Amino acid sequence: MTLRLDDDTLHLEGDCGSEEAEPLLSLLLERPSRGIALGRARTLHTALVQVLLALRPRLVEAPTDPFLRQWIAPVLEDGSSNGAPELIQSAPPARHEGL
Amino acid sequence: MNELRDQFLIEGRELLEQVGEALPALRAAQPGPALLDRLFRAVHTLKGSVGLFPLAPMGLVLHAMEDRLDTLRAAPATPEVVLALQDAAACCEAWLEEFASEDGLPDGAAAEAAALAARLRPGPGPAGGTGAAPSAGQARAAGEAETAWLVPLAARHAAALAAAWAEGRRVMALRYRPDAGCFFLGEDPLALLRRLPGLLALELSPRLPWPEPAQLDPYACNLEILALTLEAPDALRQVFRFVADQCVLAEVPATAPGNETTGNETTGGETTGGETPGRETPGGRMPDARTPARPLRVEPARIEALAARLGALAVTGNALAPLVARAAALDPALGRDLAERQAAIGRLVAELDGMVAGLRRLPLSRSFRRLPALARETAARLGKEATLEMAGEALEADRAIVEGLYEPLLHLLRNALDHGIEPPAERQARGKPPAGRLRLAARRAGERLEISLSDDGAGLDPERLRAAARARGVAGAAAMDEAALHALLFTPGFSTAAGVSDISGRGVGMDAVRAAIAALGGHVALESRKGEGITVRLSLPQAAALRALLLLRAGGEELAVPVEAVAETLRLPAARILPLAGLPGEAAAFVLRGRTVPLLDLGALLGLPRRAEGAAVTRVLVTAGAQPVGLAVEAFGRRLDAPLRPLEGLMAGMPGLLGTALDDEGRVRMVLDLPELTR
Repeated sequence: MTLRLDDDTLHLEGDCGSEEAEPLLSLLLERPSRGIALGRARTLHTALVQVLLALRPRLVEAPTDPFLRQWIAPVLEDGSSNGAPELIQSAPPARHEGL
Repeated sequence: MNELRDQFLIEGRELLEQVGEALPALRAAQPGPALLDRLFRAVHTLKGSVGLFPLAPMGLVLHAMEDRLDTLRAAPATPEVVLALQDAAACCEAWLEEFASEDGLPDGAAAEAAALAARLRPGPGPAGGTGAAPSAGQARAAGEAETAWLVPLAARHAAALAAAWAEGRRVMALRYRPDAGCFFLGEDPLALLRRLPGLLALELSPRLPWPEPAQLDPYACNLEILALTLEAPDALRQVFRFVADQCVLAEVPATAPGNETTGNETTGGETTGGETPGRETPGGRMPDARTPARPLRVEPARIEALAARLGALAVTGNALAPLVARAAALDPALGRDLAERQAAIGRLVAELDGMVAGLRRLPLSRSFRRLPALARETAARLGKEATLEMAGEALEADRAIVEGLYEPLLHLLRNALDHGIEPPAERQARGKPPAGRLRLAARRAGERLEISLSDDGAGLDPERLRAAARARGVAGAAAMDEAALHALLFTPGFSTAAGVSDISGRGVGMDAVRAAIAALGGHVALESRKGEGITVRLSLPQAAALRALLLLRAGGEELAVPVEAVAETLRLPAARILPLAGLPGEAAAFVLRGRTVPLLDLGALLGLPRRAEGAAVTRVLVTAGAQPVGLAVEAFGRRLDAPLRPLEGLMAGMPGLLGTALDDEGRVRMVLDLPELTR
């Protein structure tokens, strides 16, 4: 299981596929106060990101995966309401010397 | 990185071919929904990939075609609509080829696109006319709306952009609107973004406002993704190639963000298929790309390389023959064993050759399908009317043959329209329908392919041909029968056309046709009935990979001729050679089965030294055809199956030569075009 409920925190771990979107949504609908832990998530399918974006649960553990940390976590932490755009994140090119 | 571009060209040609083949069927009283679906899907798929290249006018035309096809689900197509769609498809094809060779579109493309789009627009007004063509300005405005998202995006990330530009980097902007159903197809849009190490900015927003949480459909994608990235355009296209129709790419112009951005080379224009997220696009996104049974697409160059290696293998196998003979002389048992093995290799090579030939096969429609539109256009330019009917275009032949046929067929078609089909008034006066009828038909005849182009025009006037022949000092013109007079049309520079037009030639046409067909291993024949029309018949091999050649020596050179050009070879005793007194040079003849056959020296014909005089026996090759000619040579060699390579560079188009072949010792031999040399 890549989705685990542990003491009111939803842990997404490893490579989380789209099949977890439905259970994730159900668990969040069941108790909107549940937090999300992404510390052990390696990849998150877009469908999961969409559920998190739409429901905006509290992020209790930031992701360690560089892509998720740099590009996805900021929007999930960003508590702003439904004004577009939802996620804005930019980085100076200096971080991409490897290109 | 041209892989993507190459792939686009291959795919684009295929899709346009499908469209071109399916469009005429729309004329049927009740075209099935499957036909419309197929057309729609092909146009839609192409439109999706066009957006990745600087082909905005083509995108506009395809978009208009798609819209028009959509309306045909409700109301059947009128002939004008089919014609407009065909013209649009033909135009896209021409642009695709222009893009392939010139890397861009012609100058007037935007205006032409606007005119075509106007013709395709449903509703009142002249469907076939050019009435309400939108201005180029309108077209440009539409293109700008497509990238309207770019300016605010750039403004929101001004700092990141400034830093990138300070380092002299190019920044590409991407808008990716995944299809609502993309999760079901196994797509993970963000996984594609993860593949961009040069990502500078990423924005995610809902395309429609989020519903109440309880109403959320977790499997309907409702995201729009905007990104700025340092990836090169080609790399981006590679990453997003399967969702190209859902993406718009544009370079962020390296100016202060917020400035007006006018179109630039990669402002690909329209690619998303409309602003409405739920719009139905049947099979809209390159479905083939994910189907496991997708046929393998191999570049023609690889097949060519395979065929070339196989040719080399055949040549190497041929080289065993003299060794086997030597071995047999030393040890007959060893010779027999070796000969058996050699035969086995020969069989395998022949089998492989058949398989490679199969890979190289294409339907004739590849060359035929462009002709109807060209016939219409050409006829219109000449103030004539004509229809071109086709049959047998589904037959397949070697790629070299199919592609090599296009030019000669075009020549023949133009000739027929220019010189054959009469102007409408004249036709009516002769009791013919005003529109000329052309028919292009292909059929298999044994191992060969027969292609005929007939017209119902004026036909040839034998007396005019005879007069033209006399005027040119053709020997024996007065006594020539009709067939011989027709054959004259295929000699260089012979033309009876009263005037030279820009459509067809100055007497080079038919000669060029003969040479082009000969280079493909074929021959041309012509039948004409005065007042009723002309039929030109092409007989071609279906495969061109290996040609049967006869090796020979003449003028001190090792040469080769195609076996099919040779009727027989003779050893002629000196006594049977009749010198023809009174003629210049050293003309001679001999009698073959009661028929006098002229005898020429092949070396001398080629401008090489003549063979030594005074031999007791002369080796003679008799050419195939209605008027055989004897050619004296120094020696005959073996028969050889070898690939014929067309002449290149300086040698290309050299009269009398078909190409070159490697003999069993690996030496290059010129392969002679005997009909050309002996006429």
